[in-house]
Amino acid sequence: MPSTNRPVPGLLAALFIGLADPLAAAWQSRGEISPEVRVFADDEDPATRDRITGIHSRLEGDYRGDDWRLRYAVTGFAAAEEESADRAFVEEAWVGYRPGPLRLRVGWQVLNWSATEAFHPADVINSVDFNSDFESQDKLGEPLADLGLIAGDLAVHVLVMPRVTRPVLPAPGSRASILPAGSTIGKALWQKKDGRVTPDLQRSQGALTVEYSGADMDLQLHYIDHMSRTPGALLLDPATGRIHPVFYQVRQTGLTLQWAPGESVIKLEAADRRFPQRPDALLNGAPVPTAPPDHYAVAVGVEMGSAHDNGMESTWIVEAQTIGGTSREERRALDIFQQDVLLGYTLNSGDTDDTEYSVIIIRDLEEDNQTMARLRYKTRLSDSWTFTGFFRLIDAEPEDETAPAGLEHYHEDHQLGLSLTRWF
Amino acid sequence: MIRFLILALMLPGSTIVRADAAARGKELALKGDRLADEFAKEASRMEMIITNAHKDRVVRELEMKVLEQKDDGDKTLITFIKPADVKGTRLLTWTHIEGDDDQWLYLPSIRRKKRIRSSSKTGSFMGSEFSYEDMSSQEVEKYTYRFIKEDKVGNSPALLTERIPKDKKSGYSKQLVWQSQQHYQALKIEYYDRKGSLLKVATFGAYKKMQQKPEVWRTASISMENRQTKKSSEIIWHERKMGAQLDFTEKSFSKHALDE
Repeated sequence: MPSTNRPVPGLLAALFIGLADPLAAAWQSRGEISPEVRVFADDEDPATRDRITGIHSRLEGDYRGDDWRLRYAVTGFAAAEEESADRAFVEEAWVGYRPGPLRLRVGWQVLNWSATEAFHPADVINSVDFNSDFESQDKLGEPLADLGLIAGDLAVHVLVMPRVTRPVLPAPGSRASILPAGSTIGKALWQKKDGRVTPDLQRSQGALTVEYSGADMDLQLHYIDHMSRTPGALLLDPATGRIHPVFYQVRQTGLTLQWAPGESVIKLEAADRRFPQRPDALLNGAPVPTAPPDHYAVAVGVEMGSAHDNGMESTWIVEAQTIGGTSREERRALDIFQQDVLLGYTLNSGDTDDTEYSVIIIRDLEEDNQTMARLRYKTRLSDSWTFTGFFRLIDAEPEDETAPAGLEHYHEDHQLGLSLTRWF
Repeated sequence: MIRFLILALMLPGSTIVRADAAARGKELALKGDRLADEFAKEASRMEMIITNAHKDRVVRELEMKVLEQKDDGDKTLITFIKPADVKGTRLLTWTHIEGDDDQWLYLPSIRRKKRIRSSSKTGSFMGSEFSYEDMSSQEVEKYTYRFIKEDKVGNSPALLTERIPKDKKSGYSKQLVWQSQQHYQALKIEYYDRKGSLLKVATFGAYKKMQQKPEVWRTASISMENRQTKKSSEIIWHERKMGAQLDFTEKSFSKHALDE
């Protein structure tokens, strides 16, 4: 339900606001509306769109009572050129109750289990909008019940997720799509225990997290048994000619760590992923691909910075990610980034404009043909307006033109993005 | 030889004078601390007026909650209200009597709880002339002291003390603090940069006794003027409340509750 082209999220938000009308004075809300344009380097393919213009909007609201809390956040994008690129989804729509040390939240929620800035092996719980930037994908709300116990420095959470959220797949002609030119994308399919695939969203999923937050250190350990939100394979349905992304059950044990021993912050994310292998099955005569291989992923980073005499502030980031327990060929199919290192630098004006210049460079140490760089500029024009511009360069020429992998899918998808945001 | 003898005679005396000045300076700091502490809890809404060198002004709004700790520095939770693009952002600080403070930033748009580097303390707070260091709780043990003299700030009798941050990562080489002779709270502070040049001057507004027993004093405003850039910022407190009856507890200051 949360991802749709229909106005359901807006109605849901209105319902929330309507229900809470008697409490309107206690509500706090925030919104943003951004005309934006993205221009890609011409790929000389008439089937793809090299320019996307549209309006991005987001609305969020909060009610805080003594022990009760209500929250909603909805996001939408209305494309100027093509209606099929429109999208809207619920990020959050939940009710929270917090008696004493307990905390219960029920409804659509977005969770953030990340520690590092670019590579996020631990942060896997939510479905994403695949039209968004792959280095910072927009998350969709997951319907779940989260029961937490907070005791001093420790917090334990049990999460029950009875239903997966259908991801927002790349719109037809989107440059975010990794499908061969001219092919049509079908619904996301989820593998069942008998090996067959289904678009049905009902799934028994759960997670347990233990968090410690103490002197200099924040540590989170997690175990999650759910449907992976990274497509494990693509499956051509011979009956319809559509290509479906297939998602598999995965059991992940992982951790995140933020450690501030002095003038730097050291960050770590790690995940060990086990994919139960299911019986062979067919979809209209086509064999369902087997689940991805078990593997682990580790990302480590360090953030350092300093304030200059003129008031500006510099931040340097170095991060690296490795995926292991697989062959090189298997690894190439698992993630856009595999054995990569990131160097990043941000200069902040330290004044009321909060102007920020940043550059990141990501280089694959194993696939020496893969490099990505992004320059970004952000500034506050007034109390209500901000401007963001970025330029992304990708150089990842496929080793095999017929079977690109990882970042190779986006070779020379250079992109310029501009957005002007009105906040209210 | 004579010079050596004179020096030998002088040294113990100067050491005693220095020790006296240090003890007096710390005693004054403790007196000021006693008349500002034991408030249990404090909540306020703050307005920050930031003025650039061309006298253009912008206004920022914040909500602040402070929880006093018995054996350590205070815990502070600041929620940004204005400008709208950072509305809902929260900064949680656990001040420690000694050593680096712990700081976390909660970014509501991505639901991320991010630990902040301790070296960030010298950075500007919301683009103002106040640094994160200025905004954190001023614990007595974080400085060494030297009482200088009795003085005046305007017509108010004051006591002038030099204090030097023990933390090598501080943005200041020293501070000169003028304390009121009535309630021992700061009337004016001069901040010197790491090179020893005068960087900023803070002037404190009228003080009010917020609590009778134990006595707690608070200023209505602080104006911070940067003498090097000619920019200035002012914090004005509104709706300030104090006391154990306030409706927040220790759990509000947990990193786990930053998204509450």
